[in-house]
Amino acid sequence: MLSRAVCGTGRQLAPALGYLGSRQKHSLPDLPYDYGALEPHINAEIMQLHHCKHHAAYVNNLNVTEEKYQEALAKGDVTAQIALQPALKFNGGGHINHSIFWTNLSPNGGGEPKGELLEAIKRDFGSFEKFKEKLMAASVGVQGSGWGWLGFNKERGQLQIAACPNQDPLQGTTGLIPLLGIDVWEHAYYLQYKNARPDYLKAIWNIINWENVTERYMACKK
Amino acid sequence: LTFYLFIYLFIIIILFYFFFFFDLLAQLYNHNFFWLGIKENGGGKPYGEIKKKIEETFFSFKNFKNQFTQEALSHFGSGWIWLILKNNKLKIYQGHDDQTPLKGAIGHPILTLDIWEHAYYVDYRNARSDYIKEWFNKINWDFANYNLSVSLEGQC
Repeated sequence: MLSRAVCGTGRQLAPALGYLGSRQKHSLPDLPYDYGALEPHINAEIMQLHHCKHHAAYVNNLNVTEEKYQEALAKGDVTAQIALQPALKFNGGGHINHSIFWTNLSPNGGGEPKGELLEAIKRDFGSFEKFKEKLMAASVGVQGSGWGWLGFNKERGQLQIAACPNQDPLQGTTGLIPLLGIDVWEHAYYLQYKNARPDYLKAIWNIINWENVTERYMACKK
Repeated sequence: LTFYLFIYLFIIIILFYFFFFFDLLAQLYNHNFFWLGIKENGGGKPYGEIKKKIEETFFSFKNFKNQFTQEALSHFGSGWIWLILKNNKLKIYQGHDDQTPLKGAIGHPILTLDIWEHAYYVDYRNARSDYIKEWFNKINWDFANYNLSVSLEGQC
């Protein structure tokens, strides 16, 4: 029923090539909806560029970097391994973040969460409105490129809001488990909203997939 | 008492400037510098002192273009790519987000290229390399020569 948006690139490698490496290459996940499905909140052109160009580039560059890293490991070249760290963090983070992001959005999204997630939000932020304000503020306040996050702090058993710079992955850099991410890199909104990041942030609440965020939350608590 | 209050407020404002306003002021400087470094009929090959300096450091203009392009393409995230003068030599400096070579005396700025996505996304979408190519066609070499003469004067 739902036709999914696919790219020409980034498909799974044919099984025959699997023997070449001891690891599976990363591939670009399909979007669970069409490029135009999130309109008018995020337009089709943004979704297509964002998925097919930006996310695809992170996937390709992650694969290339991991190949080089494998070689450096095999040679015992620690200097080379260290030199590859920024590229691993950037492209790996980009792949992780965007993979989460596509599932956090839905053409049938919006409204408020229900049940346990809503209870946790009320408990940890006071109310859904206060949580929304906090997440918006964190996302607007990112200087340069980055992400706003709703995360789960396993040690404290609490929800927490955070912002990460560039493509730094939430869990890898802060330990918080990512539940909902808001991409505030300019490529995420500029074609439609120009420099008006707050307008983009207001609009995105209409397409948040609370089912997915709840799934992620329930998985954390196990 | 009012004198000490005044001093106290003055210090608070200075701290505020550095921690909260720096990014705004830096971006103001960066953008001004950027506009001055480009012009409608710009581009072409460098001439005068900047030509000499480029050939001294990079051996050729072509080589400089390649290196600058590589630095600009490989920068992760938002930033500015600067051509600076340090110890009488030209260097390429990658500034992340709003970083400028003025802070920390990294070098004297000669030219800068804005690689925040907002600088190119509407015209070039994700194709940063096309934007960089076009920037070379717009460089104001007079501005580069001016900055060079000002920075060389300051050197002993």
